Amino acid sequence: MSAAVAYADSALAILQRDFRLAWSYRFRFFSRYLSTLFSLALFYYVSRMVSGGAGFESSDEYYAFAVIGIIILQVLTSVLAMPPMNLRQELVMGSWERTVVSPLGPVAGVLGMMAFPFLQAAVSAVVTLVFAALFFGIDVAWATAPLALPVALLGAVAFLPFGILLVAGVLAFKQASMGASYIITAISLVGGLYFPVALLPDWIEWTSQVQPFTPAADLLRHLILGTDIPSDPWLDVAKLTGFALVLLPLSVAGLRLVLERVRRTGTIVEY
Amino acid sequence: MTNRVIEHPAPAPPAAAEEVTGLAADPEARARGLAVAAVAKRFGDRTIIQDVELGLRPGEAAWISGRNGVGKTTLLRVVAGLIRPDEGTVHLAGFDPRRDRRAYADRIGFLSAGDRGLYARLTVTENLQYATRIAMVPRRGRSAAIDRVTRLFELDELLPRRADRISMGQRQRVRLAMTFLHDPLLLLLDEPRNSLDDEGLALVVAAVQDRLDRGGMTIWCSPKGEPPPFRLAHELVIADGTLVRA
Repeated sequence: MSAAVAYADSALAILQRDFRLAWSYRFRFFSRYLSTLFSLALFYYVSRMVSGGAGFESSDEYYAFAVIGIIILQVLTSVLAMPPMNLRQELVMGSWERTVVSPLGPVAGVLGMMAFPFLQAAVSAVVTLVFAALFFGIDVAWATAPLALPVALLGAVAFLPFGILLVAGVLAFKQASMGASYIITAISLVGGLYFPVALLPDWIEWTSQVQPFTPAADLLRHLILGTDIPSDPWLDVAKLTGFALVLLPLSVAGLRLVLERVRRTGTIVEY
Repeated sequence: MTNRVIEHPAPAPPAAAEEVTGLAADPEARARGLAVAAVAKRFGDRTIIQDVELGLRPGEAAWISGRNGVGKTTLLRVVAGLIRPDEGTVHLAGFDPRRDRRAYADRIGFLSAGDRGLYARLTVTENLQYATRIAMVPRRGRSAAIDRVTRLFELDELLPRRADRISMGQRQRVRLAMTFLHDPLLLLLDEPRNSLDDEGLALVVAAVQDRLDRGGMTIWCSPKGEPPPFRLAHELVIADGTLVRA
């Protein structure tokens, strides 16, 4: 077995482990979809108050816009909030120690921990879209919607570095859930998830251009809803690819630095 | 004799230098065994261990005892590559835990003290399967590895049961099985008797003896007065941060 295959197999083992653990709590496993339904209903009724403002011609148009925001927020929550929470649980349970001394090692162990949240986010996104189409009648551009999958994948890879850094935060400071909450809330604000970034004041609007969430949202809306895109779609794809290529190695390097530091301070298994 | 012991607890630089020289003179421990040279670890201003020298040749076992909190766990964590020493070096079969992380980890089996490290909601089988995969045991060898430790620690009846639904002693047997799964060259056992009855202790002793007979090495940490019941090459105690003969 080559090293690459062995690492891939170990990552798959972590994914299966996380699935089994999640599946062992059946109610929690399914209740997230119930919660999705409530969010969709909430935004549906909020959207009834929106018409002819902020560039939306109808309530339905805003609702469809917000649904994509909900989907991206789900991906963000899975990729940013779940891995730090899972690592903290591993620290408390003592299983992190086994990962660190195993041939797999801590870096690959952390990357493997991203797999299940990633998959769960993808399933949630599809379920949300289906619920929104079935129960609330949003018009899905079925011809281009399948293209949203690779774009969502690229987007998730571009978001991944933030999750890796938050995991490094847990190793360094033992608690990073507040950090994840701040980041998710800030992104909801400047990423154009629930309202167009054009509504932001000029002095803060630039922030929507220096992170991967806005191009991901624009692209997904374009592919799933068939809406106009403010820029060339390929430019957004290039932006997402660029963010992934630059941020991913940087975040892994940051994680390695933190791991070396906590190995030196002896706090690597503390919680 | 591969073990190098500092006789006096006070740090003495010339003596420490001598110890490193002495260790390097044992090519057997350095090339094929475990070589711990002049290791020190501090947490803040507090020195936990210092000038620790230890050498093990293939087939040798050491028992390290000492009062609670003297640094047994810290020493094992350093040897496991879990934490870095502030000074000194550790080599296993010539591999460095930082530079050759994967090769080093392949050769280490580390049982931490306590009863943690199992996934409570997974079955014993699932815990073992997961452990073989992060230990990167090749696919074709996994079933055999699980069968072997199942026999060694008599886990047959426990396999389908969830880890949080078995007794503490049974959990300890599962934790030990996970430590032995990839047939490591060096076993680092921190208080392995924890919760084990006489039968469980006999199982772990037989498993350690089997590994020693095949050229493996073992460091067994336990409180003073609880020596492991197998042939020991070194009986050591940590006192005032240094390793001395018991």
